[in-house]
Amino acid sequence: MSPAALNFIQRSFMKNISLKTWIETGLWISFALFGLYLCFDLIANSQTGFLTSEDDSAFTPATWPRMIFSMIIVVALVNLAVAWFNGENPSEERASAASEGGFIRQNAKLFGFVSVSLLYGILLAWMGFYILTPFFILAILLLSGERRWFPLVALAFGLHVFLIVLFYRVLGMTLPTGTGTFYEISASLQNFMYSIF
Amino acid sequence: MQDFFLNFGQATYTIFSDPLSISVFIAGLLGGMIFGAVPGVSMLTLAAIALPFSSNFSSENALMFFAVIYCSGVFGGAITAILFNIPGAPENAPTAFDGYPMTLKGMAGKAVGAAVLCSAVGGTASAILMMIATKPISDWAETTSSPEVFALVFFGVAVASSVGAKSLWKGWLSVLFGVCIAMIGTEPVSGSQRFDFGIWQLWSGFDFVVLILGFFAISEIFFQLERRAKGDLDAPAVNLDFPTLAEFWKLKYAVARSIVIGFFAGILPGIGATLAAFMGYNEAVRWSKTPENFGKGELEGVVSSETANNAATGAAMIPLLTIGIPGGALTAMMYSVFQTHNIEPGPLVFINSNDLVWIVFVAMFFANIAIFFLGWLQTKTVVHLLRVPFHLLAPIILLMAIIGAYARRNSPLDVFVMFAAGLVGYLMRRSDYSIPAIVLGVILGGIGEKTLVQGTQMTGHSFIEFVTRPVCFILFAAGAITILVSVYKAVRKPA
Repeated sequence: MSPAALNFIQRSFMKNISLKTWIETGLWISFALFGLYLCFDLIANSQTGFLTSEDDSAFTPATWPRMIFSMIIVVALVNLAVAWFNGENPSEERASAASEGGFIRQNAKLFGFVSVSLLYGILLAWMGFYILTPFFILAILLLSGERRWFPLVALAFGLHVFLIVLFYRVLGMTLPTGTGTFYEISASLQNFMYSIF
Repeated sequence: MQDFFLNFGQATYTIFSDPLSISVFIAGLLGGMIFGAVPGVSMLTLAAIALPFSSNFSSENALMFFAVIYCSGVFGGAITAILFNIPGAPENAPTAFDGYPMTLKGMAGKAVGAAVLCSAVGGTASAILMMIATKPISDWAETTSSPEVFALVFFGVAVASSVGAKSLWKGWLSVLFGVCIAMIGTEPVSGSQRFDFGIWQLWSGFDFVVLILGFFAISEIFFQLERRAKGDLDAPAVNLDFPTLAEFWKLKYAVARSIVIGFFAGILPGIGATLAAFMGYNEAVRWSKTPENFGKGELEGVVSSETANNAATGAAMIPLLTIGIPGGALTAMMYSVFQTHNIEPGPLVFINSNDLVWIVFVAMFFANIAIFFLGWLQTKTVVHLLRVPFHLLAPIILLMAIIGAYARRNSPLDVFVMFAAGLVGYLMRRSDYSIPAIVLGVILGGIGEKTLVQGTQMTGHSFIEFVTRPVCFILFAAGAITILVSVYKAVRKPA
């Protein structure tokens, strides 16, 4: 969409409320409406018999969620209304949006870090802690700008071994071992740890 | 009175006669001070990491550890607030208002020295008041039931919403978001599954420790990396000229006022030390003859805030021990420690586990005294710790957090939830929402729903009877007034 069109939309419909506030309000209301929709589903699927009470004033599992989701809609709308009446500075917001673009460029490493972290969380069940973690730490350190070999090796592998010994061997805690081939490799590593420490 | 000294003596003997207990005490003391002082981590990070392992310790040592890191961590958080403008915890935020400008003026030693002394004085006074006041409050608490607890939760939420976020509305949305998180899993009254999306691991809801690790430790790492990318993490020059006794004596009234404010604000469930620190600071500004100097490096600002937040540490234990409602994130973790050891905090804890309660009291008393001596030492050494680059600390924190999250339920899903909570927390912090409010929403939401349903069943679904119970009426009225006043202020003044 062209800047002129954005300006037209801003002047005509958004008044003096920043785009960020509109987006936040939209997200909150969508979240609450989705929650309210799930409440209907909740009542339909309830098998506890708790909902068949003839007493209409009795609480159901959906009563409290409905109250909370309704309150979210009210507070989000009040937040919007207060911004409408008190006014925000859309030009500041536009500058902020421009700097947001700068933020994305400036924080490419941060986005890389977030992506690697979420990927780690997804792959952990499949690949296991023993195999995946050294590479995760290595990726984090490289994204942080560390290029010296000693901190890279010491933290990615040395710290990893130290924590495995501490938590698995000393404290007797189980750590994710992964599935299939990864499980077999993890089991071999565990046996190796036992034989050394 | 005889019981008082007997309990005090027995608990002191229990702690200091066993080498393991002494080690745990010292570990908690040093751990809280170090984690509180290192940018990017806080006492909550240490507590969250230690929580999964608390079941490996005896209940005495586990609870003592958390009580001690609470005292030392609240003080430790002041160091980063003063030196780097990074409050270690929300309760240290007002300390940064004047502490950081003092550092920029080259008066870091004075600010940190004042924080050491005032933390010790405020914390010790609070520990003594806690020992004296908890039992009478507990006796009263025995007469309370679900409606009163719900009214207290309502009051806690009313106050919690006004702290930490940029505007009242964002504070409310933060609390309500936390309550929504608490709704996932098994519904507390009928036992129905709710919002589990067919994932059986969610039947028991999100683990609180996993959420804490995500919202505090992981989101803090994201935040620090962003600051690092912007180049905002320059360490300021530090000198170590401590304040003189004459300077402290001038501030005696500020200290006394902050002890009283901190203790009574700390009793409020849901907000505790954070509200105490803000109130202590606000009152210092209100009573000052030169209010225009606050925010520009006024020693009294640091003194008032630090005395009040440490005075709240002992008080925050009162709702936890007497009614079973945690006053903040760390007391919520202590609640979890109690449950891990099959102890239910509440009025009966004084009958069933009186020795355990006194160990918590006495550990906090001696921890505050130890802060006075160790604080001076830490002030001289912490500068060297702060030289460790954050990007080398981050992997260590991450690994500990990953193991801690997984260890709770041996579920890889929890590790993913932790990172997801970290991302959500980071984005919400960037948009000026309040992470402490979300966490308190999670805790108070669960308790609130359960007690509301139980309360309405007790009163035969009569709302009038619910509200007109004397204690409920007072708490509902106080909560309603708090909301009305804060709404009035928020509407009158642009956010």
